[in-house]
Amino acid sequence: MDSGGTASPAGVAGDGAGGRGSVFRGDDAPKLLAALKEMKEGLDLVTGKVKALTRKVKKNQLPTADGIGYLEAKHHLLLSYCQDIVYYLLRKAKGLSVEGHPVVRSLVEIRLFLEKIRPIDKKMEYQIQKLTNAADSGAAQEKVLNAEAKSKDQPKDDEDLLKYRPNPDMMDSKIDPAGQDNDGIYRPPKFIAATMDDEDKRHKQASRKDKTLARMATESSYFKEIIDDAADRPEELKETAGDESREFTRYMRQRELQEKQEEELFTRAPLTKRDKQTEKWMRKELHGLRGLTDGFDLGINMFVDGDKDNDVGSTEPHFKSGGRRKHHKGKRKRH
Amino acid sequence: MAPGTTLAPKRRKAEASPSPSPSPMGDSSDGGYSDSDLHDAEESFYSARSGSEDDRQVSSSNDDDDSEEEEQEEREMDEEEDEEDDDDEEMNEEDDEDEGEEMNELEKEYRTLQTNQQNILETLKQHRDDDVSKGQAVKNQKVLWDKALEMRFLLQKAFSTSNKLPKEPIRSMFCDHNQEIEQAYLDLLNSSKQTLGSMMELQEALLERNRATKDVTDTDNSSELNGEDDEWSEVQKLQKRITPFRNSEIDKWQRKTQVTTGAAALKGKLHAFNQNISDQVTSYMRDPSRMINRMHLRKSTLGVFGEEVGEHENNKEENNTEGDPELVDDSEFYQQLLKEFLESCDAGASESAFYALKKQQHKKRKLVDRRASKSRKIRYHVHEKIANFMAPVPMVIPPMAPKLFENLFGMGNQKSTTA
Repeated sequence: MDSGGTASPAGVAGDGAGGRGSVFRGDDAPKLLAALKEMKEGLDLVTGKVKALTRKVKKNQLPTADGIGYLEAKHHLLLSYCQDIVYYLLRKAKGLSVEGHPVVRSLVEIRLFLEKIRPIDKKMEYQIQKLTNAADSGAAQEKVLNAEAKSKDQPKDDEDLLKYRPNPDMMDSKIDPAGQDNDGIYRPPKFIAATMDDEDKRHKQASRKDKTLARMATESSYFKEIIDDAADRPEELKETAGDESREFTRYMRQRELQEKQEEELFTRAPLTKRDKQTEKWMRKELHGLRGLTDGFDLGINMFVDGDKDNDVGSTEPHFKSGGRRKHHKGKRKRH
Repeated sequence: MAPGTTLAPKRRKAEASPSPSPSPMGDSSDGGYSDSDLHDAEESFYSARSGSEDDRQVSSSNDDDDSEEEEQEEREMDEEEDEEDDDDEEMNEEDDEDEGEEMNELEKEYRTLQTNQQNILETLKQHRDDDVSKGQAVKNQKVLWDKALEMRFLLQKAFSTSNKLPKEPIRSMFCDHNQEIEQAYLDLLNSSKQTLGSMMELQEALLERNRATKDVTDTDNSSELNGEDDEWSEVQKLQKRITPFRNSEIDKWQRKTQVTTGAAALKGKLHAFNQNISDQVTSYMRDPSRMINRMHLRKSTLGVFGEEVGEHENNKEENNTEGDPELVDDSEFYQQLLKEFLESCDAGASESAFYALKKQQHKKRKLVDRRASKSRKIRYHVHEKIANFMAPVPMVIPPMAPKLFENLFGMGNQKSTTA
């Protein structure tokens, strides 16, 4: 009521407003005091950080001259935005009106810029990361560069020395033609020595002939009969009626060997499809007429000169190298 | 002479064949033994054939090699003779003067090659050094951006609290009511002025350090100076200084990114979107009322100190639902910045985070006995011990049992009827 008394000259309305205000003020005062102190602490904290950063920048510990202009503009925008916020706080603290003041426009403008910059930010992300990695690797390479700088002096000295080395070699080459020109004697050119003996070839050819004859003796039935008659051996029973072909005799020999082994081991060897087909095909050969053509080689060799022996030898490996099926097809075509 | 040579080995064979004849003659008395001899002879034939085949193959290959070698030797001999003749001719033609000139030419070529290599090395090294310095600068720019973000985050609390402060007439009443409030207000004003001053100082220092922004000079005069808005005039001056640099850089990099991403192909379409960012913002700022209204707050949601009675009066009088132009808040943008910051942190530590998650996933594997499936283990359930269990005892049947069973259900009568 004392406060009301002091305001009495203002009028009745003044008395009423004063009374109500005093009541609410009492309620809100401690909250207001706490809020003011809190804001002050926050601002002091920011001030401390900003001053520390300013000191760094002035000492040139954070140089940005070579950087990307876009990032420079970006952090300047955010810094301006913070300044606007602080100015807004200042104005509020003074109790002044904010409506229509350009600080609000400035806040809006900077916010729009920062929002519209975001897509550029994402597109630039890779490039920024690449440069950051270059900086990290650059720090490591500086040590390597120092080491290289020390070692660079040595190779330079070596290079200088190398320049003098080839000169004596050039001097040597001058003496040789002069020496040759002085002497009037002719000297023939040198090359690898050659042997004039052909005895090795002859021996090899003779041995080859002997081997071919031995093989023929074992394979051909004609020679076999002659040998058996000379040895007085008994005649051998045969399933075939006439002469046997080479394939047939070879096949029969293999079958005999296999049967002997099977009898010794008391087990029958498994036959593959291919084996069955060859057996089936060989049974058709029991007439034995195909063997008539085998003997012509021997007959020809007996009456022709020695040069033909080479031809006979050359044809054999081709015959052997060919596959079994190919040979069979050739025979069928002849029929 | 050829037929004579062919006949000679046959005679040898004929001579060799009679030698085994005596052995079968001696054994001719037994037929079984003669069969075994025949088998032995056949075996000897097989072994001889196989041996002859192997030797023949080897011999044929040797002959081929010998013939090839001889041909090569002959060719080499011819080439050597030609080379020596050429050398003789060259020696006769050459003179000392020609050799001297050739030496000079060779030295010149060597020097040019050496200088070229050195130039290439220097350019490569320079490129690397440029990249390193640029990377370092970009790193520093990132640090500055992070610092600016930190400021913004710290200012948010003070910014939101400032909207609760009362306006002038009520503010004076509070100051008159309590001395501490007045002192707190003075301290707040001083600290805010210091903060603003330090921020402006920082920005000026940054502008001086960077070469690109040095060119920007202050062209405005101090005509706008007023007693009340001294701080705002300084802030505005600094921002005007930055504006041209800001606009040019942002537009330049926008164009660069458009060209790299191939957005230039859309130049004919969507003209509004392809404008420069500065132009877009300028056109929007002609009428920023929409955005400003969005930033306003309502008094009802915010409790301004000493304004409760006023609130009731306003509700009764105006029925105003719009925000108060005196209260400005930007929490949406603040949250956006926070979100971006957190995302960038995640991106920075993506690798370590990924591996950490992988480890956790590995550890959280469910504990399952894998050998118990498909009847690999005998499964059983252990049940409680049997209580109150008694072993069975054989039953003692009394002697009258059979007679008793005979008389049950009239069995005796049936027997009598059948009898």
